[in-house]
Amino acid sequence: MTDNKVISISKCKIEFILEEKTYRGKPMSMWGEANEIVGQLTTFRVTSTDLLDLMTGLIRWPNGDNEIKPIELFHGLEKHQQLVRKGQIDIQIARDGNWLVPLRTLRFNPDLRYFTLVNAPVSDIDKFLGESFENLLFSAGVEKFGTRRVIDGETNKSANQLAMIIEPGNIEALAIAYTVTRPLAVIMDYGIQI
Amino acid sequence: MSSFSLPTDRDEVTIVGIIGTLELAAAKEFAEFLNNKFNALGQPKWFEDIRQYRLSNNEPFTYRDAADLRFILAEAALPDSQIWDLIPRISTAWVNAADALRKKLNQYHHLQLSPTLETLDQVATLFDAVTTGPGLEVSAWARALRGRVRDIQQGRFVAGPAEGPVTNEPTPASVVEIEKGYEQTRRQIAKRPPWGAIWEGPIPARKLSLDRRTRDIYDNGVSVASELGDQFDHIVAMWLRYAPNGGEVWVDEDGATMAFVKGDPVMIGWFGTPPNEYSESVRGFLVPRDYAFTGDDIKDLPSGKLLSISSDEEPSEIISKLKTKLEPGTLLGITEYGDIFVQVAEGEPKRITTAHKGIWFRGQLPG
Repeated sequence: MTDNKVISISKCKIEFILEEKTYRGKPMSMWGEANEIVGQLTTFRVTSTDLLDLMTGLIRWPNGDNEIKPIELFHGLEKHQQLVRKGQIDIQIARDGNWLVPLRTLRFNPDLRYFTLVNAPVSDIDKFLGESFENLLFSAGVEKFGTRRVIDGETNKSANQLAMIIEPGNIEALAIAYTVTRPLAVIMDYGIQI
Repeated sequence: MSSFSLPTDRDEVTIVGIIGTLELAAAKEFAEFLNNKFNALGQPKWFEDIRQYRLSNNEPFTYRDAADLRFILAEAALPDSQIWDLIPRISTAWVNAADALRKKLNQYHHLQLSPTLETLDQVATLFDAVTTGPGLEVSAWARALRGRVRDIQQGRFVAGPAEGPVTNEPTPASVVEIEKGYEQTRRQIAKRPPWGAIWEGPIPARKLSLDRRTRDIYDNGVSVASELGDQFDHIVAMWLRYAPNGGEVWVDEDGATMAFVKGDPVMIGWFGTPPNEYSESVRGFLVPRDYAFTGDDIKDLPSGKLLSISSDEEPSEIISKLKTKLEPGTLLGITEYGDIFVQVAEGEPKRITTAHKGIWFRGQLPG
């Protein structure tokens, strides 16, 4: 029996593990560099009604972008294996100093026959989530939600990408955003047409 | 009638109990009403007189008591009814409602009526139609039930702390027996649910892989086609109807097979021949809709739609089966297991054939 906070999102449950640990690895934003470095890891565990049991973490690097990354897949279906290989979230710094979190979504690509990250319409996310994604995120303390152009004034090629701005370290908002756009999208077969 | 029970939520046992108690209350009031009428006519043994009359005409008569609602509803609707003249404001509409109520009560006593608010609304509507004309007090209960059901369905009703679903009178023993029967049926359904319904048990031990592209089933990479023989293609097609993306499936010792579909554990079929495949018994609860066999099609009576233009797959096989056995105009029912049967007001209905979701009206069967 755990005393950790647990929240339910559609077919998933998120358990927040309070203990912080050190984590050695390479930040996604510094992948080409030779040496591993040590960061701080805060984990949350995503389980689902279809046997997924995935430990995921927020890694704060001393240099390089912070990120959300799957740490270990304890259990799952064949399709859940794809969560291990893809779906990391590279967290950036917004103009106001808060965290800017891109919200791309895993969608099945029928040509490639696997899930890839896409800029999904919010209406699609709402549909497989079964409620308003935006409202769910705001209930978790998200500051802003929308395209990067609207919420952070970007004008580059990522300007139309869906994103959210949160206070640094808002683990609940990060866990919800990750769970909806990655595990839940796979569980609900987002993009698969029969 | 001093008090009556109303549901406060979707609790199935409460709904089953209310239908049974409502039936007994209506029967008692109808019987008292007829007793008074016949006593006034100097015929105190009227029930025995009717029994003798029916038996002398070689008609079946299995009722043991005048306070049996199915007897009253049946007798009132007969062309040579012995009670028709005594019931005020009786009409063709009343007879139709009485006939429909008898069928519903027969389904109730055979543990086939799905214990839902929707069913309770249907039953209460029929009770209202049958008891309001003769001016029975139980009609007020029927109308209150309809109102309460709609309040619950539309989220307008919130139970207060003192509000309970039960009356201050104990539930009659006969109703308690039916409640137990429904609980047992519910347990059986939970153990082996219909195709496409939620799998409620533990995950079985044998894990196989259903491949949508190759339309094959593998056990650790080896095809199990030889294990299934002639049934193989049929079983693959059936499994893919309910788990269209394929993936892992789990097979229990008796062949019951489940998979996860959009996160939910779902019964997708059987590894081999399903048990009772060729039995005449009707399994599970009814889909709460009536259908009529037209002679070359099946009509969904609430919507008027025909099966031939409302199913995802060609339903000619079941139509052909029905053609050999039924007359046009026959009233049909179907259970969540897909068992198709002729609706009867008395006795056990018999399965004619079985449909799956592909060859039935879209969205009416599980899955």
